[in-house]
Amino acid sequence: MARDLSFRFATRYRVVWLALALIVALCAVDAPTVFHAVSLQLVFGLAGVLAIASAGQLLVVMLGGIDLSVPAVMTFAGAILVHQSGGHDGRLAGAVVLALAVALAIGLVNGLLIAVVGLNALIVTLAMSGVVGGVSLLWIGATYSPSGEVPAAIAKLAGHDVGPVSVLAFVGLGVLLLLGLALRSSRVGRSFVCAGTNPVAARVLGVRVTLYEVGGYALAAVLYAVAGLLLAGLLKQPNATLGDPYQLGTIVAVALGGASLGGGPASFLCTAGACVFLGFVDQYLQLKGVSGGVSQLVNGALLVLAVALVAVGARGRALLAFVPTTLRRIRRAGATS
Amino acid sequence: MSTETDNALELEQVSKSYVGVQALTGASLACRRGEVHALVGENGAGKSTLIKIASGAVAPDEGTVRIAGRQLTRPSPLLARRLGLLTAYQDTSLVPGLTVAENVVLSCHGVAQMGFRTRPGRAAEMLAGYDLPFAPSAVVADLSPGARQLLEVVRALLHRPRVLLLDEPTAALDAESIQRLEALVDGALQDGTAVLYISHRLDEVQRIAARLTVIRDGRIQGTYTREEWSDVGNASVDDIVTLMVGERTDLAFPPKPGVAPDATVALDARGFRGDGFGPVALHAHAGEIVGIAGAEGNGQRELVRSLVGLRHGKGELQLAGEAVAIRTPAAAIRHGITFLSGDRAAESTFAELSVMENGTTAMRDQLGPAGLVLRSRQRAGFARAAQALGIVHASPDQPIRELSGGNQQKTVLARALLRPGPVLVVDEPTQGVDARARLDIYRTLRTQADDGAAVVVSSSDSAELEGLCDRVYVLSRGRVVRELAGEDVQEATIVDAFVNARGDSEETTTADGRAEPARGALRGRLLGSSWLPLGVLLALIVGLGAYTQARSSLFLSDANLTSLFVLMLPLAAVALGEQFTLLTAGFDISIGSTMSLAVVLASFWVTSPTLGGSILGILACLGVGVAIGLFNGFVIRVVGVVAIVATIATLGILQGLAIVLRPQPGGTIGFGLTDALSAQIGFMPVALIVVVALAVLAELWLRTTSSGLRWRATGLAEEPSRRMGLSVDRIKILSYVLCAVIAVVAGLLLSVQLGVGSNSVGSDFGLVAFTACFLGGAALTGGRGSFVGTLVGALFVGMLTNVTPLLGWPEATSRTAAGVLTIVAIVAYAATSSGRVRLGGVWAGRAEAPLDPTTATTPEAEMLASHDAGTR
Repeated sequence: MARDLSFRFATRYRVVWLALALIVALCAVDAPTVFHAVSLQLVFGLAGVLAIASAGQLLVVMLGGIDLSVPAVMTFAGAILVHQSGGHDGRLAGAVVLALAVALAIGLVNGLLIAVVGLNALIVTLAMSGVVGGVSLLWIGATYSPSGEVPAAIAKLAGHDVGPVSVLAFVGLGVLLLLGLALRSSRVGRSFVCAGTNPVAARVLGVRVTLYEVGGYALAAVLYAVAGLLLAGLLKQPNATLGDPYQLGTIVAVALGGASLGGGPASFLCTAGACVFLGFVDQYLQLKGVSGGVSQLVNGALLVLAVALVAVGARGRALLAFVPTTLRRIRRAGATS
Repeated sequence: MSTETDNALELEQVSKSYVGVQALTGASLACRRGEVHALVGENGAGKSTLIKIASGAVAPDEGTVRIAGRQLTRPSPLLARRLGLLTAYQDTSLVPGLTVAENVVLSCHGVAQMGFRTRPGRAAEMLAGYDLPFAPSAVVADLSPGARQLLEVVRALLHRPRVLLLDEPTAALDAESIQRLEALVDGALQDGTAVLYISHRLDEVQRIAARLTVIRDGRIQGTYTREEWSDVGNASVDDIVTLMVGERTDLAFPPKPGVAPDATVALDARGFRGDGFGPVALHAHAGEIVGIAGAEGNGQRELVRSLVGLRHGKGELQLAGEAVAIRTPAAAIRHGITFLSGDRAAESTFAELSVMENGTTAMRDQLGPAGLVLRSRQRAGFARAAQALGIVHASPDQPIRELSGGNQQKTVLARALLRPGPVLVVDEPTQGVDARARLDIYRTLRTQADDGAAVVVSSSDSAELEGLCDRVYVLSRGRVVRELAGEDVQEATIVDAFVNARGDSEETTTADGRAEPARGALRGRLLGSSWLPLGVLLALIVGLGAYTQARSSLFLSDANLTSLFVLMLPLAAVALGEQFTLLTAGFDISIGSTMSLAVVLASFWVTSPTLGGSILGILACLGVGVAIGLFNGFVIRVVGVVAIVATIATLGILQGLAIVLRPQPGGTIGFGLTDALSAQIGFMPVALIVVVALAVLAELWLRTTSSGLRWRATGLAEEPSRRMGLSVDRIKILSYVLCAVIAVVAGLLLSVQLGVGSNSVGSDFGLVAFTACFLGGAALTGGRGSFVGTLVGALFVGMLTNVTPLLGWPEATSRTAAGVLTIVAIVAYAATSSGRVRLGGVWAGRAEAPLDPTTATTPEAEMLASHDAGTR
């Protein structure tokens, strides 16, 4: 049994928990104010939003793609929420449904262009983020509504805390666990994992790979919209920069969570751990009073570190051979001259 | 250095093993000047490993290679070429996206003066004497496989090599081309070239080879002169076959009970044909194991994949007497055909998933109600199969990639066991599988047949077919040349059938290229050309300009034109930089933040009021650009991180740095730089004139120089470029450096427009730079697009921003349009290139299963093939 577990939680899935333990220890020693209830509420709230968006990114990554439209869709969802509801609770439901439907349409277009037309995921999602940003400005404009506020109900929901833990953390955890369970224990989920791991082999087994790819991009976009709506609720007055940190953020979370960026199986639970870790890192840096730039820099460095480790693990021998062959080459060059 | 000997190529005691599998053991071979030396052996005997070592593609573990008396001191295709050894590969080292002439020029690398200019005219002259059935201006992708193979040989002969390696040169040739090829080889012999001729076809070898070496299981079995084996006639040909086949193996195959006389025909194909094979007729009875044999690359792979819906097959196909059409694997499964591929990494295993997941993927309703997968049932099902097949594994949750080849193959076989069907199609059942596991696999296949399934086995191992099959079809050049049954199913008979198969490729396999209508080729060239996007763009620019001018006379005013040009200046620069990475099939999304960082750095370092005083600061900024490019290049090419992920990380780091350095806008860009970059001649900024001039120069470099050609080749096809000895990694890393440095220049151009240091001004340039590149005809697959096209693309994107206020359109229109246009541009590109797929039949689309032999000759495939030999 223990051996089974050691295979199910491979090394790449363990790193994030170690990192989380380290950052918690660092905060405890160096910045205990991180653990004040107000601070923790913020950490968990933002981690929850990041987790939902990262779940979407993870679906795309498991299919072997990368989604560059995360910030655009999140921001657009927030804009639709404010614009359509005008800040009134009575129009909240309609606004939410519209935002989700628009996101679904965006995801479907992405998926169709990528899986059916066969275009490159990067360029499609990058271009799509331009289109979504532009359409948002044309339709809604830079000012979403006269007050610019979200309906009170969603602000109350997103701002609600259970002790030191934001309700958003529960939502995020719930979404990730549900997706993880679905992928593990349903035939649709297994087929999705197969389609991402080796599309040709999946096709041989009769899996309708294209369908799963389109579905993956569509569901991902809906998840970004959910994250955007909840973040808008948390911020109360969302603006056009709402989604900006989430492009890098979702990719870092997914990479730290042990996902292979070439596609294939991944752990949603570990991605959740990565989101909490990133929340702590951000809060720690904030409380240390460093500028927002440092946190972005750290995110970038973490991403390089995480993917480089995976790459080195995968082709370790080739890399290890690189050093001695280079040395030999240098020595030989020295010998001949 | 040793003196000139008669031996142009000498291999001495060469050994090579892959992960514990011995592919070559102490192989020695000498190839004389002016002589054809044939190397024959069965599939997986070690021929391809030997070629790779001789041509410098792979390092031997032991032993030496000498070319014209000089030792090949390191594994380098370039060095081997310089020493005078050229190779004509079976799957060619041509770059499909280039023309015949360009491929010829490229082949001069390392062996002849390429010259600074490419001069296609000279290539045409070089080819003129060979009377080839295609024009030098033809695109290689449009040629038939036979024409490509002929070109590959001619391209090596052009350079009068000391040693010429011909790897199965006639596999795709028709009778006329074979004659032509043999005449060419004769000509080369007159020049004193030594030819190492690798072939399966003993009739060809008999005609042209002076000596013959037999290789089996990685060991040289002996070398014979023509007198020793060809004069005595057929008796000694049989001896050669015996040498190739070797001792009878003592594997205990399961007994063949024989097919019941009243057995129904489960699978019946008539006039069945497709790309690379046919028409063939074959059938299989229930309870029968039918083999498909042949030398590698004779259509077996294509035939099998067409039977199971992975490729498109035409003709009549009946299952249990009922005509069916199978166009997808899903349809094949619905009709009860199970396909198990021995190309495990590509087609059958999910490397990262557990052995249990891999074994139970074919189980459906058995796994649980309502579409659920119950772990308990999964475990039980897998345990049953693992027991029956003897799958050795540490835990059901162990990833399948950690298992040995044999256990992986058994796991794949478990799928058929857990979900038996009336027809089982197996391709290469024991490739890379150890002897013990082979027996389990043979036993299982026989059990499936005994239980009533019709089993079709395609294998390159003739001994295996002998032991396993009730009946065998032997394929040569896509056609069934022999059907063996009963006592005739013997390894020697099978090998004899395909080594002595005469004749040539039929129209069906080679005609697709030659018979292509001229108009189709013209259309393909036009649509695939880099000038088409340019033409479309110019038309759009003129149209939009005329429309805007008609609505607002301000458009063509000097003031507006200046503002348009100033606006497009940084964009044009950064897009030109990105074009360098796209050209080499790279990708850099960090350009926007590189620009931001350059603006911030300039606000610290470039503050002098004079240009002279700014030089150091400017150089420092450019130095940072070099560092960024090297970092990207290192992480992507050396560490092996996907380009998008690596450059997104760089983007984050650079953006963070910019914010840390300038949390608030501040600092002043010095007048020295500002004055220099803002100078104007009339309404035209001088800097833009310089950028345009540089773009034109870059375009000339790309189109007319040999180094530009090398860059395009690297972007279009990495593996062939490597075979030609190009330094692929160096070119690709250099492209990231160029891109980052140019992004810094673009940042400096932007900084003088702003006057202050600001930390995120570049971020919007990322998307529009890609838009400009793609509008100009670039593609992520590399090698496409043009610098002038990118420049015009930037002009168009700049114009969109410029005209929106003049036309009274909302500001965001241009942003939306940029995104939409990017998608339109790549859809248009995909449409034209898939048009080429239909015409040329070369560029495998997403829908086709990977069949290109180049993809199959990975080190792993090589290892598997050698493993196959090693365990026999």
